[in-house]
Amino acid sequence: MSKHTHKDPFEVLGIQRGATDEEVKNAYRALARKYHPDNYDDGNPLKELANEKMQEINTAYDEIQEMRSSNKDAYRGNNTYYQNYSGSNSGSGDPIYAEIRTDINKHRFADAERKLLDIPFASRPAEWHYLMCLVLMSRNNVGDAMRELEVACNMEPANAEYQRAKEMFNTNARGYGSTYYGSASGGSYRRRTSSDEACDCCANLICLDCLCECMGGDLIACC
Amino acid sequence: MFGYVKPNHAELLVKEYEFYKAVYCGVCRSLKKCTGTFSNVLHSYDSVFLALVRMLYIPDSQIGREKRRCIAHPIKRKNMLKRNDATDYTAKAFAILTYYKIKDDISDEKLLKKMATGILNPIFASAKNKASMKELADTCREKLNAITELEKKKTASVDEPAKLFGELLGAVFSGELSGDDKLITYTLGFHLGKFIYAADAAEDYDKDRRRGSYNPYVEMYGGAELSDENKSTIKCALLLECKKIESAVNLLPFGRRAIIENIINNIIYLGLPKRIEFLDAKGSEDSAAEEEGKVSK
Repeated sequence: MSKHTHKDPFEVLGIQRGATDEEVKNAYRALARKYHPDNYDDGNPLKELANEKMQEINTAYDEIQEMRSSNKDAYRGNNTYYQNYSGSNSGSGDPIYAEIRTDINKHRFADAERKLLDIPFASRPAEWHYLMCLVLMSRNNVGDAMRELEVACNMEPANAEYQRAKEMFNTNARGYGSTYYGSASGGSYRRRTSSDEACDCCANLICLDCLCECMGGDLIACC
Repeated sequence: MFGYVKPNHAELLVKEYEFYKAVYCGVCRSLKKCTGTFSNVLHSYDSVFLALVRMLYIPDSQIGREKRRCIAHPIKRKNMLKRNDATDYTAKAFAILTYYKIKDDISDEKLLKKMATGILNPIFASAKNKASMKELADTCREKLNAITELEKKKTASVDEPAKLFGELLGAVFSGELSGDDKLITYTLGFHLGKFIYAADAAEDYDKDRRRGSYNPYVEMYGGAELSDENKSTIKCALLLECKKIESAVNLLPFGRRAIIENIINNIIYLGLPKRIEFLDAKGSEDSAAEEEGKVSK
């Protein structure tokens, strides 16, 4: 879409030309959080578009920094952070499950699912449900995956691996909307920001001054 | 779309709320023009979200407002959006969706069905007079039939039927677009559809359990009453779906249309989570009351 045309870096970051360094930084951070690879996992068809956006923002930020010739690379280099939740390799030690774990780690989800479904219904331990959760997650079947994880956790409440996975999903879900409230810049939402608190501070001082004056004293001499 | 995609009005700016209402009126007028005079009684606020998204893909010059009277408000002149390609598209797409939904709802009652289809058929026919709309109608029918099949089989999976509904809404959101625009809007519609289907099923859990009608969660949880922990699991999955919606919304070409951007953000960040508050544990009602107390102060 925008790959070939050069865009105004200020336009890309959604700020005015005269923005302060702080505003540039905040706008860049807010946008980088938005298009961060963490928000677009491997199955997401929009991953590439988001990467493009990310590059656009990085370029824009660099350009502005270059223009203003201040420290250039301070906010970069974080992009490679990407964590895969099928990573850990502990488990019961049953060879079939070890095999399935390898499949999952190598992203051979179809193989893993076939092997899982071959195991008869009656002999499915907590680990089966956990691995099924990972397979379903790879297909974006979040609802079913969460149910499998719940079953796994109920069967083995003490298992740290399952609890960790559950906690991770919960944290991820709780994070929903944080960019909406959190960022004070980038045209995003209207929540109380630090500058509001500064106003509060002045208002409080004025009130205090009035109170002092009532009692015959004076806090701020000029009003 | 069953009342799931609405903003949290209290958090909108007045100008945004006015714009939101104006878009509602705009879609209503498009309905009247495109699908016949009485079709606008079927109109609901759900359509506004689609209209807002589609308005990002038409030029600024097409977006204008005017003050007019209408049948619903004969006395006071209302601020409403002028008809444009986005509202026309929304009106037709919604006429098609509503047609299938109503047909589906009354599949048992013979007389009622005859009456309803008598009224609906001309609306439906005029909605799909364009080739692209015909295609959309076919997709809708195909997906809804597939969902009915899964429901008959009593599938113990919420994502299988939800994905079909997602594909349906994906088609609705991305119709007549191409390239990246299509990909972004399709993904947005897809995950929104999944969210709506799953949230709808979760909300109807108790009702369906008592009546014995199909509900994917009833199959998954074996028909027992949902514990607070079950509910929080379902809620967590729904919020993760919201994050997917967010990943698509982030890529919408808002440009300088801050009003549209803020309304859409309000809908997905506040409106959607508000809609699944019924999944919160009972104990947390205090905090809700507290919140309301703050407002009334």
